[in-house]
Amino acid sequence: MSYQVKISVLDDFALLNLRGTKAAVARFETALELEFPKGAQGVRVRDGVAVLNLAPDHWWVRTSLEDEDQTFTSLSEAITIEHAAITVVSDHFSGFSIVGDDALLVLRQGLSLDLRNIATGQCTRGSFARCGGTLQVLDQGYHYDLFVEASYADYVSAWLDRAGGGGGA
Amino acid sequence: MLEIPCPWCGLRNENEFICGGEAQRKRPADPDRETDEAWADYLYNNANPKGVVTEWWWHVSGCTLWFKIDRNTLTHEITPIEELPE
Amino acid sequence: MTRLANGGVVNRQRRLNFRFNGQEYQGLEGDTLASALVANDVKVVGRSFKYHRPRGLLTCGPEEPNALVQLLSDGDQPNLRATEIRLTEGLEAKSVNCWPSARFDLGAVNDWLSPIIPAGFYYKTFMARPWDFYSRFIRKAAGLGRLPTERDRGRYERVFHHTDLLVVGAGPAGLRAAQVAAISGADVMLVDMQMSPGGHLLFHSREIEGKAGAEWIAEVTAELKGRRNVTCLQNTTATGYYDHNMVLAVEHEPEAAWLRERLWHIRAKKVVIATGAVERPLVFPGNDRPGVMLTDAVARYVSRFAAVPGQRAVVYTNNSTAYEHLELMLSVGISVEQVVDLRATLGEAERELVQRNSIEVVTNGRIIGVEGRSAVRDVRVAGESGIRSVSCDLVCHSGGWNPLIHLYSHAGGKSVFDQESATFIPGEPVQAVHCVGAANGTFSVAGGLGEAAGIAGSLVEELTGKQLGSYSSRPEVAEIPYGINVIWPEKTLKGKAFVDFQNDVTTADIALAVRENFQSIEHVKRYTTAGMAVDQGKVGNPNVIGLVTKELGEQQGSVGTTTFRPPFMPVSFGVIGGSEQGQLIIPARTTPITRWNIAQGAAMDEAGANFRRPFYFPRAGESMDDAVAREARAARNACGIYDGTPLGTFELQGPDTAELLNRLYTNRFDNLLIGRGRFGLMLREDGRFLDDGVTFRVGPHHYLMSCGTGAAGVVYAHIDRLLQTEWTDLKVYLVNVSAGLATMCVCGPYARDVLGGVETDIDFDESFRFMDFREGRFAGVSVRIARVSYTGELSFEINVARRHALMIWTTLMNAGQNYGITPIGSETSGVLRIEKGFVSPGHEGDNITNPFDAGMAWIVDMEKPDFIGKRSLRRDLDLGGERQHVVGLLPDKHRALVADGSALLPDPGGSGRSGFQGHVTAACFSPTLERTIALALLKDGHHRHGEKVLISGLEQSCLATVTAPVFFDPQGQRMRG
Repeated sequence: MSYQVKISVLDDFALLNLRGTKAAVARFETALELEFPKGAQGVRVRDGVAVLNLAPDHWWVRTSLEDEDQTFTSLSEAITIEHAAITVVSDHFSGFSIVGDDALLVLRQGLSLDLRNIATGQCTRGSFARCGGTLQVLDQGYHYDLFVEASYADYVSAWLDRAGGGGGA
Repeated sequence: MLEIPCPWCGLRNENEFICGGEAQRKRPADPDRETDEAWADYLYNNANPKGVVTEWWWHVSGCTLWFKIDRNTLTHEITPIEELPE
Repeated sequence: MTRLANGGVVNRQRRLNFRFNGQEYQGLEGDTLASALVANDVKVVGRSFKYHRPRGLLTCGPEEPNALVQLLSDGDQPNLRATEIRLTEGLEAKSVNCWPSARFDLGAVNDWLSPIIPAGFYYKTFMARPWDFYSRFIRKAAGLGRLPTERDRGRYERVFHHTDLLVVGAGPAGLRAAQVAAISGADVMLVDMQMSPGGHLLFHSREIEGKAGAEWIAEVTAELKGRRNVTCLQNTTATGYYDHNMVLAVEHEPEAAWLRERLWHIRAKKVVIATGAVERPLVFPGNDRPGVMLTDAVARYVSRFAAVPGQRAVVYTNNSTAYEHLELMLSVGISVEQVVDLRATLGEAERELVQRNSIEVVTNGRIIGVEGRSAVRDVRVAGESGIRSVSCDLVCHSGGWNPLIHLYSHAGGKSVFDQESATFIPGEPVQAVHCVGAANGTFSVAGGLGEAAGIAGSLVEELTGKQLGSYSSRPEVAEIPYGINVIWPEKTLKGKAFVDFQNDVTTADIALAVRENFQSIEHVKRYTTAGMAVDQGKVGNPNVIGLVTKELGEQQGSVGTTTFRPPFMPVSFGVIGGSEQGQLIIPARTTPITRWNIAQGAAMDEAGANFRRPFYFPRAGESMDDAVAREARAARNACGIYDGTPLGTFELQGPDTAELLNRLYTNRFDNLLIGRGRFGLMLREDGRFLDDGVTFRVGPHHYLMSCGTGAAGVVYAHIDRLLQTEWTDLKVYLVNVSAGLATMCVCGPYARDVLGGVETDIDFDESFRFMDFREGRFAGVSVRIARVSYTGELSFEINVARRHALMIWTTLMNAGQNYGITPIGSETSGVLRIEKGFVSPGHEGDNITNPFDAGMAWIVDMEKPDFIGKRSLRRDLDLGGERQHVVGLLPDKHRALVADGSALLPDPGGSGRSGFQGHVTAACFSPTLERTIALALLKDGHHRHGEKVLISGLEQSCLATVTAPVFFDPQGQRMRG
């Protein structure tokens, strides 16, 4: 007996952490041929590349592992004198996908923020279980991707299993 | 469990934040010029008002912005005072 | 059996077997344990706390003070109220606080001893001998119930929920509030602690708006269930109101069948409290005898459970509500022998009712005594015509109503005394809380419905900005107008008259407290313990307050209430823990090497920031000391390897990074060359240790900072705070890459050889200097390798993306086979650092020690214009005086056992010093020196090398020689060469 939800580990993703001034962002946009989201919870997607707005001057670029190197290079080469920081953080985070009719019944055990306010295609960061998480909403109420710091991955995996109604720890 | 208004993320539970103390305490521009008393005052003393205090809060579990709010130390009524940084 | 043949909401087709106090009984599906006991004519359900008087049921609800039971058949839970336990097949329970049984309880001796054990007696006795002597006996007698010995195997959950309007209580007022609010489309949540909605309508049939109560409930409930914006939870107790409209509620038996309970953290924009009221007892001698019950409770047992508590009743009241139940009692065959009314005159409706039914009423009457210890036999009634005995087996009393304002009080609300209804009602609204219905002192159902509609309407207008329009006019409900007159009993009456049933507090105790000059209600409460039991004074508190006020000669209502605090009802520990139990309590953090460590049989423990670390790797038959010694020797003589991934690693990028580093560290960083690293010391603003670590310059404006595992969070916060609140003009970006960057360290004389055996384009020869780093390919992947050392040996740190960590680790282990490569644990690293005297902020650093005390003047550049901590250091230098310095200690006894934290005392052989000299910060047996060594903080230590001090231990003390704080390779040749 458990909730109607399937939890799996995301194994093909690359994450690049971007910080930058307005001028730097303009360069990023040119390099990726994609206008960056400029508001809380904003996400823009094009051709398998998603850009998530995490803070006023802070974005994630999410792509496939295969494209990690090339994305990093094109972003790095785009910057000349602008104040920016591009860091590959694919290994710094572990990802989980939570899919099912009862997805919110699992997530609401760990996230204390108001999930009514995060719509399909949006993202946010907040406290999750006893670590913290970055949430990307692929289908509100049904399909969520959750990223946590990699050192917490084993803990979060057991936590999600238990929250889903399984044996857990 | 207070609800804190983050200028970027909106209202979030207190446990997503760390309180950074009174905002009226600013690091002196030239510490070498401060007398011992003034330096100790900066390090250790708080105004600790009964009423509204302006405080720093850090949204450590969220967007990691540092921002100020006004909080009433008696009623916990919170007034956001910051616009988003440009 | 006193079960009616018809009526009630029980299922006569489903009989349930249960055991109570060892005896077998039968009840029906739909019963609570309490109603089943009533139906089985069980009069004595327990014994009171102090006097062990036999007690029967007083109420029919969660406010029940007497019927506390241990639920043997479900987790052996103590102190549950029989009125709240749903009867199930095979249920087994027993009364708490009686031995050997409820019927024959040896503790009853206390009742005869009562004159010498009034309130607060323990403050005046138990003084002849030390407390230990008495505590043994008192411990046995104290407490209620017994703790389960088995671990709770239940599953629990904790959830967070947001809603626009939360309504607490699904009685008529709450249902109406939710119904009105739901129309607006706002999110509405309705929680109710009973098994079905309806509140008191579940127990009393009433006509509402032309319909029978049950029909009315069904209609409103169906309407609410049909709306997508409404969530209804039954069996859910709202137990606490916290800041900013956070309400905690415990859901019992949720529909997710694997859960026992679920804890809701509900954040609401607005809250309506419709929690109703509970009946208040009257205060008279013998009011605690089995068979003396609240009138409303009797009506509830009869109408909902078809269980009749007695056949011949005397009704005692000071208000009109008791009369509402007389016809019900008559209809089920209870003979109403007499109604004793404290008031001088009755209301018109009451008079009509008693006339219509030919019921004898004594006005200006009082019950002055109750006969019958295990079951009431008769009562003595004093009236205008004198004193009479009336034979009866049931006394129904009613002293008024107590609105359940607990949640309002938690929210910070102050209650006020309403003279007309003689009760405490909510005062000004606080936070976003509004009380309606009986909870607000509006005892008329019609009034409550109107109030609820009005409040709900205005609240959703505020929430949605939409006008709702008026909902409906004052609804029709048949009821008697409420009238009450509170009259207190005379002091001269004989016999115990109880105000707090659970803690056995009587009118005499209240009088005693006031006589002993306790004037504040807070003091009287604590001195007499009134209101402090499991029931938290739900039925009794207003009586306590009223009596205290009378004793003080004050106006009723002038003495305030004590503050109600969460929880409203007891909350299980299990549900507070939620699903984070067992292994999930602490978020154990891991590295890619953790599993390998565990598979190798490493002794695992937590070492900073929740990381599970290997402390040492014992081989078969090895003790901890053996393993640590072997690992340390391997590191010094051959090759050691350890996983440094938990260390904090931050990227700093931007044109002002060098300037930032200059301000953060005590030493200069603006002259660090690309490709080089430098050890830096970070202080707090008060000049005390924050952290230390090596920072590398990777590019013109690109640095990589490392810091201790346990300090990573603090250092990140420190830097981020300075950048965002103080030095906002500095262009630096800070990125935490700790988990993504795995770090493996190979150290020892053969380190170069081991690395040379791996396929790589990096040269490990002498050109690779101490504090250099090189980037390249290693075992087929990109790495950065730095020559840093935390052990004092030749040492290389390999930084690689986490995804390659295990592969690199395995490659190194293989490459090191022929060189005796040995994994070393945290315990071993600790020994190696003590041998080298490398200062650890966590050990040698405290709130007093500065870098000069620690012999680190070499790293402090006081010529720099500014760095965090500089001003405080200058004060230390100006102040001077005697300070504690970091030293080494070599105990005379080579194998002495020295504990961290041991005090240092002067050499008893004569030193001219006296008193406490310092303490040991870290001690160990050194495998390299084959003797015990220690680091310590010692007064004026820099100038005392060669002297002796006494290390004072718990079991043994030993003399030790003070040395410089380094025991091996003082010049650092091994790591720098």
